[in-house]
Parts: sequence; C-alpha cells; structure tokens
Amino acid sequence: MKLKINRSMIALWIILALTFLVTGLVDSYFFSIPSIGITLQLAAPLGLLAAGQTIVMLTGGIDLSLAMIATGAAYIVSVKSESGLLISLAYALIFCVVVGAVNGIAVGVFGVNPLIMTLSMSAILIGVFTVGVSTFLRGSSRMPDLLITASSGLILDPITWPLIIWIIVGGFVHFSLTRTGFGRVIYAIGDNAKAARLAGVKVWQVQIAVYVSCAILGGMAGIMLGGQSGAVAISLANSYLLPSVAAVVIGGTSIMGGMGSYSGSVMGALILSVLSYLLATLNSSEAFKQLVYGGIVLALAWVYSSISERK
Amino acid sequence: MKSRKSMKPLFAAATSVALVLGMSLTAAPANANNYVIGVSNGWAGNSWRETMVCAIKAEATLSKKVSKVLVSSRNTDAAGQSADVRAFISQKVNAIIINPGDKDAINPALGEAIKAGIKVIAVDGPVSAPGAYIVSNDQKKYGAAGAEALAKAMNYKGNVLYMRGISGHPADTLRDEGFKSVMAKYKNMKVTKEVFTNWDWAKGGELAKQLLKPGKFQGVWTSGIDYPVVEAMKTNLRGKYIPLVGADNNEFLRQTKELASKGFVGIVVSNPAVIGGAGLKVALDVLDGKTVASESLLTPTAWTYKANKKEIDSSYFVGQEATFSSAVKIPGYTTFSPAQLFRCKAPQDSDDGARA
Repeated sequence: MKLKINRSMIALWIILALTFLVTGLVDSYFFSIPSIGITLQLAAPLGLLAAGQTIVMLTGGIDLSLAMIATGAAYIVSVKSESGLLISLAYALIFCVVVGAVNGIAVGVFGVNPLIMTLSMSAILIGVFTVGVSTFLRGSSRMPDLLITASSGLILDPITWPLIIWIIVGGFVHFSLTRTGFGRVIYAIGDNAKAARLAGVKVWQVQIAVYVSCAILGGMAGIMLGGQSGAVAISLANSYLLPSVAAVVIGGTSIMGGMGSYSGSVMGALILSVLSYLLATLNSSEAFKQLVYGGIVLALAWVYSSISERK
Repeated sequence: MKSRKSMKPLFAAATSVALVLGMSLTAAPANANNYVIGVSNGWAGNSWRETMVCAIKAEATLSKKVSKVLVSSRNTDAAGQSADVRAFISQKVNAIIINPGDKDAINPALGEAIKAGIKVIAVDGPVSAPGAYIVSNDQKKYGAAGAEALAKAMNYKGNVLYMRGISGHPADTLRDEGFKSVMAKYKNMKVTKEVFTNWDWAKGGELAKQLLKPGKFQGVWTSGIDYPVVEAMKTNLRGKYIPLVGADNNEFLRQTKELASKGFVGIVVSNPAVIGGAGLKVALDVLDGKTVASESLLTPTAWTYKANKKEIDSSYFVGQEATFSSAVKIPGYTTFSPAQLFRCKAPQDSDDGARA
C-alpha cells in the first residue's frame, strides 16, 4: 500500500516536471523567479478548493456547490467590509458553516445523493446572490486592501502571502487527514460507510463536519480569488469548479472515496496551474487549447489509474 | 382508490383557478395605455443583465403606457427562450423584448409572435427574424472606439495585449472587426498576443497575471474584463501602469479615477446595460404606430479621465458593486433617474403611481 502511493507520487512529480519543462521551452520567461511566484500565487486558491474537494471526495461525496460557496463568501466579505474586516469575515464564516451544514445534514442524515444535493445548493445560491446583489447585499464589492495583499502580496520573490497561507492551511489539512482520528474516520466512511457505522462511527456527524470543512476551505479560496481580482463579481469562482475536481482526480483520490491524499491533490493543482500557463502562452486557437486541456486531464487520470492499479 | 376520490375536488379547484387565471390574462386590454410587455432574458445571475431588466421595468413605469411587465429571467438556451416567447404569445402580450442567446435559432417562435401581431424587439444582440426590431450597441464601433483611444494613449506605437471575449460570439466577432480596422491604420502598433477571457473575471485576471511582463506590452485592450487586469499590473509590473481599454464597469471607473495620478490611463468604453430601457422605448414607439428603423445602433463613447473627468466622476457609484454597468442613461431613449433604476420596479409592483 505504502509503496503504491509512493510510486504514484513519483509519477505525479515526473508529470509536473515535464509540464514545467515544456512550458519553459515554449516561453523562457516562465523559468524566471517572478513568473514562478505568480504561478504559485495562482495555484493557491485552486489548491484550497481542491483541499475541500479532497476531504469530501474521500468520503465518497462531491461538492458541486463549492464554486458558489467560494463566490458567496468573497461577495459577503467585500460588501460587508465597510462594517469592519473582522465582522465581514465572521459573516462569511457563518455563511460557509450554514451552507456546509445544510449540505452535510442532507447527505449524512437524510441520505440525499451528494451530487444532487450540492448541485441544487449551487442553483439556490446563484438565486440568492442574484437577488441579494440588488437588495440585502447591495454595496461596493471591492475587496479590502488587506485581503488584496493577503491574496497577491509579494514577500520575497517568488514567495507570496497566498503561498504562505496555502502552505499553512494545506499543511493543517494534510495533518488532519493523515495523523488524526477525524482523518481516519473520513477514510473509513469512504471505504465502507456501513462498516464504519457498525464499528461505532457516527457517520452523519462526520459527514456534516466534512461538508462544513469543505465549505470553509472553499470560502478561503473564494476570498483569495476575490483579492486577486481586486473586486468580486457574482460569477467569480465559476470557472474553478471543474478544475477543483480535476486536481483531486489527477492527484489520485478515488471518486468512490476511501483512497487518496491531499498531497496528491496539491500536485494536481500545481500541474493544472502550470498547464494553464502553458495554454495562455501558446499562440493557437481557443478550440485547440480546450482540446489540449481536456486531452491532458484525461491522459493524466488514465496514467494515474493504470499506475496505481499495478501491483 | 380513496386518494383518487379526494383528488377530484382538488382537480376541479385547480381547473377553475386555471380558467380564471387564463381569462384574466386573455382579458388583458390592448388599448394604447395598457400595454403588456414580455421580457426574455436567457442569462440570470449576471449583474449587467439584471440592470438591463431593471431598465425595462423603470422605463415602463415612467412611460405610464404599460400595465404589466412579465419577465422570464433564467439560465437557458435558444430552446428555452423559444418556450418563453410561446408562453408570452399565449399570454397575449403586446410586445416582447428579448436578449437573444442566438441569432437564428429563436426565429420560428419569434415568427409566430410577429404573425400574432406582437412586436418583437431584440436588445443587445441581433435576431434574423423578419419583422423584428433590433436595439443594440454598435459592437464594431465599440471595438474601434477603444482601439482608437488606446492608439492615442500609446502614442501610436508599441505592442498590444489583446484580450477578447468568447471565441465565436457575435459581439466578439464584430468588436474584433472594429478593433483590427483601427490597428491596421497604425504601422508601429502590433498585437503581439491575442487571448480569450470568455468574459470571465477570474480567468481574465489569471491570464493577465500569466501574460503581463515588464516591457513586453505597451498597452492592453480588453472586451470589458478590465479591473482584474489593473490588479495584475500592480503585481506584475510593480505599479508601472500601461494604458488599458475596459468597459463602463463601476470598479474600473474607480481605478481610472484613483490611479490617474499614478500614471494609469484607463479608457472607459460604454456598453450600457440600460439598453433594455431603449428597447422599451422602441417597443412603445412601434406600438404607438410611429415609424421606427428596424435597427437602432447606439454609438459607444470612449472616455479617459484626462478628457472626460466630469463624465467619469458622475458615472461612478460608490454604493454599487464592481461589475455594475455605470452608464445609467442613454440620451434620447431613457428617462429614468439612477434612483428609479435601482428601485427596479415594474408598473404592476410599483408605487410610483404610474398606473393610478
């Protein structure tokens, strides 16, 4: 088991190194220190989204409302920041906890299929925020300067604040999954929920905790995306939903649950970020770029599954 | 069995409610001061589109000629919009204002509406249905106006980062024609990089951060995804701003104002969401029997803070969100004040006394 995971991680490192080299050959500026800093800065919010998605997917679930949770948290922070940064962050936290808890209760207590539940939640949130923008959430959606710095501020090339935040939060997620009882029951539920319940695990409580954690991580990612844009639109994180799932799958977490790791998802997020840079610098048609992106993601998932299935 | 029995009165009640409803709808009078307007918007959850719908409502209320504005605003495609149009036909509206998601695919439904004597007005984008009226920003001139101002700001030389909208989208294609026709005039200006933002704020910001490098470009043209590019200039160019073409987004106006003293030249090209109000004006003119051109094109303006300080100052709304379309009036078409627009009330839910 141990050997298998190591072999997959080596494969992911090789893939990352290859995409890194190819990108550098296409655009030599990519190898420069500021450029590496920017790529890592852009990978940070995706890495946080993938952290949330990893936790949920390890239990055999998925969170399709993650992008709207991220957007919602960012929007709330931006609009409420006039009443103080901490208060606005508290509002966003409450929002994430409530939405995550509703997802978790529906999935864990009422047994709603996570795909259906979170897809509906996403649609509901779009509706709520569409109305909110002109009523209870009316106001300037500009991000406070402190959060702009936290999302894109440079410390010392190529180290940026978002990278530091990602390392701290990501380290905590990795530690929780690998070294704590909470982590172990997440894997146990994903592996066999019935067996976990018979062994005395209160599965529904874990499910709620999982969806709440996912929503909080998504909220952080959303605030970071908002900070990087300078202001928040209600479509802010839409285009990050599929990459958040793709990063986790490329990183080798099984969509059936019970197998995988956050370190794999980190690699997935880094590979996708380098890939995104590569596509941005290529001078080819948009259709071709989409084709390349889809093809590489598919190939990576295939390479990974064939490696990890080999004994 | 029992449940079927108990369903009967319920069914009867539902039928009678439906009948009464149907009658009240078919009874909607079509005389000159009691028009019913149907609005089909195929993209919900988008600030620009919300403002467009609010402009229709506000203008309808002020006109005192409209009794009801029925709005179908949802995320849908040509098939969904066709269904909306057919629903409006059965509701016997007098005019339909539609922001079409497709130029041709909604035509069969629109044709049925026109045949039924309903006036059809396409706003923001064209439809090819014969007999339909089109009210739209002149997208070709939109591309050209920004490009011309950019050329001037760049002193007619240097490399341009060209950030378009959605590949294949009709508005993007027209803007591209306008943009390139201007670029062709200036031999010392060159588009060295062309990308598509898909009109997505996060993607636009990401692309700008990946592509902007010190000294590589002397100017940027965007199809409206503007303010994240200014953020990217702060991080990537360490505050050495280069001229940027954007749209009338509230946050971009703020940046244009506040960063002018730091050497930033923002070029604000108008793409007013209140074009919905212009669509309503055209609808009323047609219903009143006035002669109206089948296509009304608005000419976009390109503002810089140096030349249009007054306009930019008065168009920026502190309390509005970042992507709010700040051009809140179209002279000759709209009559509402910003406050009336923000209230977003249709005649039937308005307390303006328009129907009194």
